[in-house]
Amino acid sequence: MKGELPWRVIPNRISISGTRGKTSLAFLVYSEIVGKNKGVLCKITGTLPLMFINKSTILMKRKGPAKLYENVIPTNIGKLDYCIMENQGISVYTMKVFHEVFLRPQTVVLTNIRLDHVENLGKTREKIASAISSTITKDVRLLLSGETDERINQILKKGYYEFDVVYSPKPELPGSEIPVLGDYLLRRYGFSGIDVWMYLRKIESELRWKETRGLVFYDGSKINDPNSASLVLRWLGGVPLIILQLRRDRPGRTWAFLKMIRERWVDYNSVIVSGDWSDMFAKKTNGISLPDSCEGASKALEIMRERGIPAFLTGSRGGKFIRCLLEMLGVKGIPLVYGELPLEVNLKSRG
Amino acid sequence: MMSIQTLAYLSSVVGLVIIWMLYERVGYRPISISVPLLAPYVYLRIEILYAIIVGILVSALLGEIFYRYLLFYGLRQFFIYNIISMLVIFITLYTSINEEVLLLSTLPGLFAYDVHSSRNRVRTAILSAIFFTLHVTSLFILVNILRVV
Repeated sequence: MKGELPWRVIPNRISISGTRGKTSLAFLVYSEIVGKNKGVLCKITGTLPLMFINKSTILMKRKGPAKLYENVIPTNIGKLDYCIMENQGISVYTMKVFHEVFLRPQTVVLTNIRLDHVENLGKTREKIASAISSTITKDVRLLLSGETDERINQILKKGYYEFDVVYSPKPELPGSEIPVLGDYLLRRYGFSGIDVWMYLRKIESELRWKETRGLVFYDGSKINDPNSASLVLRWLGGVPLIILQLRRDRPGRTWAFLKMIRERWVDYNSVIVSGDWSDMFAKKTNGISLPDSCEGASKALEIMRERGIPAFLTGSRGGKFIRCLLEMLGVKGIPLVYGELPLEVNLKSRG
Repeated sequence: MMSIQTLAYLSSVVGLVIIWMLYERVGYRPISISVPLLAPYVYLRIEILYAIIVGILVSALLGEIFYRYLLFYGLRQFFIYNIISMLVIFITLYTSINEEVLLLSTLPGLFAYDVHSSRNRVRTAILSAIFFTLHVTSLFILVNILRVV
């Protein structure tokens, strides 16, 4: 394998961990540093793994499932000062390997701790916090938390690193911890901060029901955990129809959403569910199970029209049902971050 | 009358159940699952203890080199630990190789992998060593109390 490990060549390394907002935070910090005559590398992951090196963007081709090897950086890229990488591990082991072998960060940022990847990390937020804290290696000097739950922060606190928490000036706004964390990080590394309120207004303008062809909906299909889904739902208000896409390879997620619906974390009208285990899910929640296909999506669209109430799409983007439904609703592309990803700029391919 | 082998076999089952219960309680595996299999082997054939210790140490050491310098992780690392372990057992017990040795050969590698992939390596290694000692001691006491042959 050709390449270099980030810790060998880049002096300042930041790992962005946590449940939600990792990509947004990594890109936000990168986009602030990149224009300031400093060499910076940023790696974001998820459906579309991208590496930004100064002003170039590399789209990384995946063969099969995501592997940690995509965190190996190209050689001969000149002197870099900062490395911001999203921790792509979804188990304690892979998160630890990422920290221990690939990045060796001095700073770890935990955006928040929510009920995701429960099959690997634990079925409560406390267990997830404890699992994630065990992945913090001895090289870490600063752990920065965007989590406001004191019980969770107590679990994250350990003796061998500095621990700090940032508080959003608008805690009820989902995702508002991200620009605050970005601002703190930038200042901490000697840069001028950002206009946090400008970012908060931007999030606020995005977080609203959308209307298309007389149908009101919110595309929360990238929201994969029930904690975040209920935060967004509470922010949006109303008593919506919840449209949920389930995935066979995420049984823990199915369990967590079932918990959210059955324990009524939010007010909702009814649930439409598709994907693996949808029949069981619908039975347990008095919901409607639809096939994981475009026919299922058409049926969901009919129900949305009949009921005439807002629909909240969530769970996953990885299913035919949700993809068809989003297409029918005119949603294109994946909203990755607040800013625009400069995909068209210096786009190179890397095997 | 129960034989020593039967008692050792049953103790393996009990040991595994205890580790499973611990896992259910704490949410992760604090002791290697190879321990309840290694302990009866050692009790029945104390002369292989050195081979097991050498197997664990060499697998752990070489496995760590593969991990740190060749970026092996996950299933790759699992295979590496087991292959090293099998080779070490082959070399150390070359003169007495039989079916038992073949079955035993991957266990030190499994021990090393369990420690490597655990949340806290030092703690897992220590707890596994303690569990191993307790298991062997319990077998010794039980064999004497029950007077099995």
